Amino acid sequence: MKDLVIVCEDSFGLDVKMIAEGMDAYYVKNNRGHLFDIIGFICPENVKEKLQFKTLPFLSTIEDYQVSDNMVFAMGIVDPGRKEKYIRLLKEKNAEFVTLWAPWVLAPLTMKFKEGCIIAAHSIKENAEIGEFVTMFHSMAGGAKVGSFSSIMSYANVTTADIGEGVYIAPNCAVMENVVVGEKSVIFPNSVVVKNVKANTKVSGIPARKVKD
Amino acid sequence: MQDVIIVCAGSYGKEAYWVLHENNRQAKLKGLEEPYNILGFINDKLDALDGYDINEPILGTIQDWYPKGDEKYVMGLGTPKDKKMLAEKLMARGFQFINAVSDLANVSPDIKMGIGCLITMGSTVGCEVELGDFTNINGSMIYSGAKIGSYSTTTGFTVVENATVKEGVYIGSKAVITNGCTVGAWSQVAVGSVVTEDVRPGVTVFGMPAQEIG
Repeated sequence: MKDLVIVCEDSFGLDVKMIAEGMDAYYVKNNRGHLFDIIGFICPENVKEKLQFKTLPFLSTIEDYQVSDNMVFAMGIVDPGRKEKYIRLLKEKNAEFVTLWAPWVLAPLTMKFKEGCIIAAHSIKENAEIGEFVTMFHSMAGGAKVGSFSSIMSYANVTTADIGEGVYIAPNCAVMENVVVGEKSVIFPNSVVVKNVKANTKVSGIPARKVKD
Repeated sequence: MQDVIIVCAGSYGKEAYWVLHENNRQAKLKGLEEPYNILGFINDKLDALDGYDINEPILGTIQDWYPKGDEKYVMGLGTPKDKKMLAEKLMARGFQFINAVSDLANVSPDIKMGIGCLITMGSTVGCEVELGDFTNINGSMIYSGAKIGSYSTTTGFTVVENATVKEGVYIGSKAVITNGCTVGAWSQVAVGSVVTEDVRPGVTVFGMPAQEIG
């Protein structure tokens, strides 16, 4: 059993905690023993004053945290840019990230997720290609390709799309069949994406159009 | 097994019925005692369940009904103002309301919940969420840390991120309340809206991003 530290910058850390607890309970229920002991959270220096949880103790800022053996990390930051930044910082300290999946995820038993994912998606098909450090939170992934560091949030539907690296897809979006979303793009909430989105672009609306800066 | 009567037999009353009914079924599948003995409904229109596949009867009208014994009540109304009016009237008569939380909802065990709440199947309610009295969470996603005030109602595929929803708010289907926003008391968020800034009390907002209308 390893000590689990949740990396977060807001209360999504608690959502990650809930997924970790669910996964651990699933293992215990199936006589495979406890996976983790959730010991607390670490956060960026600039949010530490305002981030306080009743059920998850603060351990340290990410910048100051000392990684030790028998410790694993769960990435609870959803903004792709900041996610990648803090992953790299912790990797320099030899942090090991764990992939968490919610017990109700419908995915093929043979599916192997890459490092550091948070998988709480409603369905993932066997032809899905999921990168590292992908967050899928109550979304529909189906047979999509999802690039590393991307985050697909609640009720978003990307079932046959090609999502690049570092993309943020906000709640309730739909990305239509075979659409390609370029890396580091942002899809605003409730958008319906019907055409390819270039890299580094923000889109919003039905149909989604580029957002003026 | 708790005797339960559902107040109102409209759409929310039927949602409440299915939560209780399904919880009973889930208990039975696990070999446990069914938690609820659903006695029926009270509703001012006595034919409200005609044509529906619900065996339990409408026992009487709301205006004439008084508690008879140890039975508890589940609120089956969704409109915030009506819910508040009715809850206050009935509690003054001695009605004791309970929460109805679907076993098929994904609810963190550490939430704070008032009385008379309804959480339907398919909902997710994250850690440290605070729900006031008589809140309806209807197939919605409530992120950890969110606060939902008394008498508020969220509907299908609503997403409330780490935000504060004050008392008496109605949030339409597929609306999104983004991180850090406060939705003022007795306001309405129209279907499909995306709230990106605080909403004043008593207004209706619509659109992406949501703006005041009317």
